[in-house]
Amino acid sequence: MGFPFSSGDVLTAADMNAIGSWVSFTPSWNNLTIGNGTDQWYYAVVNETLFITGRTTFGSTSSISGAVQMEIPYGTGIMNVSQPVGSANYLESGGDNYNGVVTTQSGTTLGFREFNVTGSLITQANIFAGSPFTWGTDDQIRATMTLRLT
Amino acid sequence: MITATCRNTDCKYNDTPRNVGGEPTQVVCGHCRTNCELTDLRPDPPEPIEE
Repeated sequence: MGFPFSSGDVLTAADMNAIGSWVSFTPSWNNLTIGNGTDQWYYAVVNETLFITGRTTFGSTSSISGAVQMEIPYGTGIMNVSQPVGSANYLESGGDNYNGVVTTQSGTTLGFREFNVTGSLITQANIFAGSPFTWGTDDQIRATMTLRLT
Repeated sequence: MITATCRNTDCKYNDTPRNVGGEPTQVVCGHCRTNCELTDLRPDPPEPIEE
């Protein structure tokens, strides 16, 4: 994984312009049925680094059935030691905006997690249908992450 | 609003329209990585008024 260029290659303007350019994609979700919701996600690749940013806005037929995960949209795998790879927030339409984190769940999937308070410490847990709030129309998942391609 | 539909018959998202924000000109399926077919669901602009 990485740049396909070799010693002696002559790079064209198109080659250079493609480096780090953002590509719109429709996420492949686990445990999230998008229905009539709207995805607005982009990825960009620079050598061995994958960037992802975007948001999903729930529609009236969107639903969550378990721990929400996203497949990586590029490459064959990512470094996975269950590490945090980005920040997330979860907007309840007309309500609060909750902070969270994105972590690797496998070599190809990312998990969306929320922050909880346990005593005087902050912990994290998977978001699900009832947390950090009951998901409904116009609620949003937003995230930005940086991943190491393997 | 743009709708993106994966046309890869081997993909689990084949023939499943997805609403996509941001008015992109090209959308990649996040599962099979093929380019989706796009449909612009916005209404056509009004006809110009002839003077």
